[in-house]
Amino acid sequence: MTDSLQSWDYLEGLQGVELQKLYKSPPSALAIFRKLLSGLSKHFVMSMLYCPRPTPLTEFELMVKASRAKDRQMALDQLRRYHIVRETTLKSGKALSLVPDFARSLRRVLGGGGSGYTFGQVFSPPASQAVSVDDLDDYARQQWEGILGYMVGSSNLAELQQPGEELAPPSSSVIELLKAGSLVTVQGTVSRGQIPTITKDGFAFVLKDVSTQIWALLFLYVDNCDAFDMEKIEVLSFIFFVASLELGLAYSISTLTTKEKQMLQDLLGLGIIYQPDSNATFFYPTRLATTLTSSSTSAITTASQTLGSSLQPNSDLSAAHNTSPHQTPGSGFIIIETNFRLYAYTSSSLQIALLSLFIALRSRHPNMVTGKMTKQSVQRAIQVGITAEQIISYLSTHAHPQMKRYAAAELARNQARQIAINASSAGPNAEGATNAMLHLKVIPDTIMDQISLWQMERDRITSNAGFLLKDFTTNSEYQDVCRYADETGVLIWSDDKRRVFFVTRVEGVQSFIKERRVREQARMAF
Amino acid sequence: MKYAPPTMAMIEKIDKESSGAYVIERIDDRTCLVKENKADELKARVKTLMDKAMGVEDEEVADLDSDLD
Repeated sequence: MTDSLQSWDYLEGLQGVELQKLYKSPPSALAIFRKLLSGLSKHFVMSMLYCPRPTPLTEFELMVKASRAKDRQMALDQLRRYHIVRETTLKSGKALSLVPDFARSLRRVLGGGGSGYTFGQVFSPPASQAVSVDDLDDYARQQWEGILGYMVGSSNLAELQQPGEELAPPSSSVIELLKAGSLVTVQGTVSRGQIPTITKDGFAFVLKDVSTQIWALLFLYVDNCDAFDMEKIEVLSFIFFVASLELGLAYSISTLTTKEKQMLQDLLGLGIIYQPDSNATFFYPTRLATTLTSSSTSAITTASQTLGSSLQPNSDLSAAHNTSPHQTPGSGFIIIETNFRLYAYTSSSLQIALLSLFIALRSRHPNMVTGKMTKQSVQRAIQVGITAEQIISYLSTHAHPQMKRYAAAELARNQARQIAINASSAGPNAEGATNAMLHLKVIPDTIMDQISLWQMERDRITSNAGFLLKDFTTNSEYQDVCRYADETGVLIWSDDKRRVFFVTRVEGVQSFIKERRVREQARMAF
Repeated sequence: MKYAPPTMAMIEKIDKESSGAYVIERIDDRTCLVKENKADELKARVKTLMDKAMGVEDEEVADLDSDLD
């Protein structure tokens, strides 16, 4: 399935001039450096940051082992794509240097200086209006659950819902954003009631982690900012500014521009910002904001766990079925049997609504729902875009500890059996067989195979968006360009006999072809 | 797009009936280049045609379960 959700690749689509404008803001330069660049790209940036002269390309070759030339090429391509470096020609050959705005902003972040409010003005709210981090997490979770619940149509599961479980609907601006991003389609009128229907992209969205979800919505917001009379770069700069703030601290709105105050109101609906009331002169960033540009895996995991905890089953209720002393609340609640019956120990409306996307639910109990996975229920999900891998991944991630224990015991039995077989007939084939059996399979093979077969039955065609390159004059030109495309990770398919290949991105390949032709012409002239 | 050879015949049939609205170039009997905004539509039409050819009914009765139902 083509994933059309906006991700950080969105920034690649910005023009060089727009990116240069963005880099004028230190929080933006820091965010792109932290979140977007690979480890090697960061290393190259740091090596150039305080260097007064351009760095010759040959020096980058010395920084990386010859065996890792592909990684070096990818890192340099990444810096070029985001217009972080520019190329100059020295007497000794080509050289790279950081673009001045990016370098200035990053140096300011690292060494200080510039405006005193680059990273906001901390505000001390009156004690009566101070908010704790736990309260901020609750607020962010409620807002986010409201959005996800609206998307999966939890309101349509009234017969399976219990009183008081209804999720608060999102604001009208958020609904407009979801519609603009084709994550939901809405039928009906405001006066008679509107019914949202999740789309193929919406399916993919709800199964992503919180960080990916929030960025997808923010990039949608950036894309639709024209409607609010704002510029993309202004919006992106403000989002990166908010992301650079510290959780638990209040910030004054007096240093914000009128447009930024307007954006603040939009971010309130997403749960990224908290304000005690609309007249308050300060705001708090929530955990959703402060982990937006974090490159730390643990910080993102903490955010997902904290904010996604109520996406997990009710901890009190699932605890009753938890026989493991090491079991953490909400770490798994689904039991699926080889006869396709499913038991989910949850009372979360959101989880039940999610399950109903690919399970035919049958009954609801105080702490559990039952259902059956059928060909019809799975193919209904596949028809709207959810993939077999997503379903299997969801079931594996949320498998009940009992299933995990059973799978671990089964694995241990297989290992013991294999060791005994190896001992009696040692050989390379026996080793290979052992490795094949060493995978922990939480979901029964029957279930995984059947879901995949149901998908294959419907999905006989695979498609990729991209560019077809053909009509190469010589075989060596075809081979060189195709190899370059493969090394830079954009090659999807090739046919050496016909000298054609298909790539996801064409800009780098085009530059390579041009450079190669110039080199060839120079060689011929010589 | 990549698919099994029999699917190519269906794609060609649909494309011919639509006066070449989908396919830009046929590459081989498993691969072809189609207009990006027409890919999903073409997939849906192939599915409909294939279901019709194989006699698959859209609405199947869900498996009943003696215990759950």
